[in-house]
Amino acid sequence: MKVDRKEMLRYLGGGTGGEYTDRRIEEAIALAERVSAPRCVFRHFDVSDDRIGSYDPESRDVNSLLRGCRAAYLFAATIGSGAEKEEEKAFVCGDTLGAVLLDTAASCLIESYADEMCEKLARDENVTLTARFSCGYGDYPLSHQNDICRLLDTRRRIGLYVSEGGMLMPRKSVTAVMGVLADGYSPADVSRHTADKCMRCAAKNCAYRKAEQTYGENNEKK
Amino acid sequence: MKKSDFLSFINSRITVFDGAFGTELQRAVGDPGTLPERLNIERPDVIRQIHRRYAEAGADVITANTFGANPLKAGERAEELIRAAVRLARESAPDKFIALDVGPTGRLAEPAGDMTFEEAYASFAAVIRAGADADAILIETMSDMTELRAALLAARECSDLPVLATMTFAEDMRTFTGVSAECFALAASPLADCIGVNCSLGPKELLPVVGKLVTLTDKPVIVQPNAGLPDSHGNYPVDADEFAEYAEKFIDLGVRIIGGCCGTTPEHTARLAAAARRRAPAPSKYIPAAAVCSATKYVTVDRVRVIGERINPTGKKAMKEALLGGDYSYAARQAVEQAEAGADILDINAGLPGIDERKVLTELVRRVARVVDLPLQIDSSDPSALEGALRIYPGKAIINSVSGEEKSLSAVLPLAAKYGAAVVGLTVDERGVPGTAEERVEIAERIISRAAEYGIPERDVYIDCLTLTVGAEQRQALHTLEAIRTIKSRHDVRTVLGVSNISFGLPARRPINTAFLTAALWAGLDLPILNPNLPENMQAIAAFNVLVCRDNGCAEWARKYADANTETTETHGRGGISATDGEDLRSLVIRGLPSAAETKRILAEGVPPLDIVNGMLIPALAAVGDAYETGRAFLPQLLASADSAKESFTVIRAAMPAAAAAKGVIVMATVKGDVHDIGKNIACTVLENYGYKVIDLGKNVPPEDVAAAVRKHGAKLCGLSALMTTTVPNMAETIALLRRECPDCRIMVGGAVLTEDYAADIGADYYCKDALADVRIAEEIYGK
Repeated sequence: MKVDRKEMLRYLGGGTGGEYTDRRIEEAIALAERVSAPRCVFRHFDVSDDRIGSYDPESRDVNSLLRGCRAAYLFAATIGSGAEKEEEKAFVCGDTLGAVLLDTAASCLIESYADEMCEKLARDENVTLTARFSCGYGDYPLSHQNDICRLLDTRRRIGLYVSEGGMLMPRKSVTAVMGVLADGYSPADVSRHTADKCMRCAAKNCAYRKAEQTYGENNEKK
Repeated sequence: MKKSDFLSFINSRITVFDGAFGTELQRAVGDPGTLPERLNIERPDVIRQIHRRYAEAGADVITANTFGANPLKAGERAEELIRAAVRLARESAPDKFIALDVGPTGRLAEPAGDMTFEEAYASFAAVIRAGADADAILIETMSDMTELRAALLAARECSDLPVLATMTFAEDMRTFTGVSAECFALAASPLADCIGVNCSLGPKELLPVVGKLVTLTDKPVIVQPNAGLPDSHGNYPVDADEFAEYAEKFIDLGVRIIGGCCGTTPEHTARLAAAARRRAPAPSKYIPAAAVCSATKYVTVDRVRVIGERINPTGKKAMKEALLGGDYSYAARQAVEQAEAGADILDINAGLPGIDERKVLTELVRRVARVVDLPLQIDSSDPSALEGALRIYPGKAIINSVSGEEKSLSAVLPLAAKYGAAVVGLTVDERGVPGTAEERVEIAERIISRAAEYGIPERDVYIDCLTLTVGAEQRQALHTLEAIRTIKSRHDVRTVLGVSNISFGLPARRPINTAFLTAALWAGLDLPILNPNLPENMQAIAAFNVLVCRDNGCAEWARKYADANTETTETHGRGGISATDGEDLRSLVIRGLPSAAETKRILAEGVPPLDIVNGMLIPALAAVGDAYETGRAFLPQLLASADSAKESFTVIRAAMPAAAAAKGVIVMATVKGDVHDIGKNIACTVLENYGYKVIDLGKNVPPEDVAAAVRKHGAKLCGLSALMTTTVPNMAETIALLRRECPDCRIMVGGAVLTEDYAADIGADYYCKDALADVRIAEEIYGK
């Protein structure tokens, strides 16, 4: 689990602009790592008739992700709420920069943790997986966070909740569906977890949307 | 069955609870869906069958199928489902005890989540009333202290049944929200009849936390482990034989009650029952300790502990104004500064004339607990305000204070007993402040013995022998010290003392304070109440710890002071760095460096505050703003400059309030249902820097509260933020309400999912693409 500096700068609008802010970024990354308590849970389900076990994702995009898959995993991960608390502390102390950097570092951490855990899952279970596909991507409704969290028992297993507004709490958390493309682990295919999620996303004017050409090789493989 | 029957039963033998219900139910009916408890009505046969199998396996206690049947999950059906569940359990096992199962609400409590204490309490109270026909209440699988306490208080206040409470711990021996075994035991033991551990891990992994827990509570301990952690197909690895082996180990540790959680079966229960029949309960391993705690931090009072005094409006103009204006972030900042300076506990006081003290003190406790994990001392002379704050405080607090007056004793001691708090005993009574040490000791002993009548042990009574001003009553200092010595020699109490009052009215107060503090420590003071940001205070205590051999090998002293010239100026945690000599204020702000020292310096030189604002800060902010808007500067630079300017403004405002008079009021809020407030917080900082008064209502704010604040402050501009598509409807609702109730107020909106068009659709006046857009809008409305 580590913060990708390049990813962090992308979230921050492309650059930092100086030694002082560079130092603050490193401090924020160190703090985010220190206060994180990463945990994850996953479960195997058989897939048939567009259902994951008995669960219907009600999403054409999920169905197309799982086309040809006989099994799928539901997955959830969180780094806990430590970073949120530090962020609030920084805000009340007038350290807006520190708070924003910490938030950004925590976003990078959960992404990196989820990537690592999915790769580990694939290796441990000896399968090749599709990319992670989360509620809110494409036509997959956000309200399904509740179903995923219920099916994985995330409250008890990793302390992950869904707010009334359908948000994950702690905030730095991820849930996802992944199809099993084939039995047998194949490292060549696993780096596609995050490859095309921006392109599938409906938020076309999102500030963090990656341009299509930035996908490089991963995208061409498809 | 009566409460006493159940309690004497568990005291006389090893008691066996049944095993998992959820996983058994899944085995019987597949995925039971979002509300398994509806099967209490739809499939009573299945429910009865599971209960019978556990009863036949030898469980002494059968847990009704009510884990998730609360109003927050099950809505109006909750009570019907609970009554049915208790009835089914009773019918299936008429000769067993029936426990009402109270699981978590399913929502995450503040501050990490969006559920308030009151919402949790209301839900639990409904469950407990509906389950009145059970023989005991099992509050289980809790991971949050606020939620646990809401359940415990609901159980205590709405029922006479015995209460068992278990939390679920991860391998780091904390719950997912960070509650340690120590904090759990300290806060829950006074409110429960049994406490313990369930779920989360297998029996092997729970041994360490259980081994700890049995030493931390005077109550019988219950353990209900999972049958290990399930694999990716949902299979649990620990079979009945292995489970029973660990049951023996738990009984060796002193556990009195044993059962199973997820993945256990009647077979596991049968093996547990067989083990339990062969064994007698071991004697309690409880080791009493004088301690207080927050939800996540446990502080023993076995050495000098510093209580930070700064969150108190008495004589502090800025704190007073902040509290009267509903601004809690000022106090929150004081809390963080004191914590960073080394305070162990924080005193919280909201006593101001004309204030709703219960409401403000409670909110103050809530806000401070969000940003620091130190235990709190709740300071009020109003018992109702004390109770309001004690109810919601997620830990074991200190009450400050009870006096020797009958009226105070009979009002405050029951609160300490009920909420399991420690209490400061002030050695005054109806006759006023006693003039001698003997009289103070006499009052202290009266408080100690009255506390004992309420079941409050001596170690939870903190005697305050009173600091009087040497400027007025010089001989009293010696009496105070003598009283501390005497009371400590006769009782197991701790002592507490507000130190700085000693020098009131004298010049150069700080040396007198330090001398008195040092003398009081030698007399036996455990809990000085002082300003931890004054270095000499913390130095005096560190030095004392060296001299009494508390600081082994002077290690702590060396760590703290090896590189330092012991400082004599007040420290304020953050922003104290100053490698900035020689730079003018304008360039400090542009570069985003700390600016307080330079601002103070030029103010002292006589530069008029308005010149600083208009000639340095505003141009600096404009330069960075331009650079950001044209892509020459990035967000981190913009924010660093904003923080730097804010620091400078704070110094100027303190020196000359009129120089920083607000251009206009702007109410800001993250809408109801939304807990992401980072964008809104950035906007608040930037707007403040451009001279606007920002009323920040925080996150998850109901529409009515936004309208009320706009009305109260006569704001002509209101900013709303929402991150997710799911909360935009609440934004639209807030806008509609503002349109009806505050038609003169313009509304700007921002947040990840919003666009110019979307903003127009929901009726906003302006869309903010970034933090500087807010400033341009504010300028349009209020003028530059």
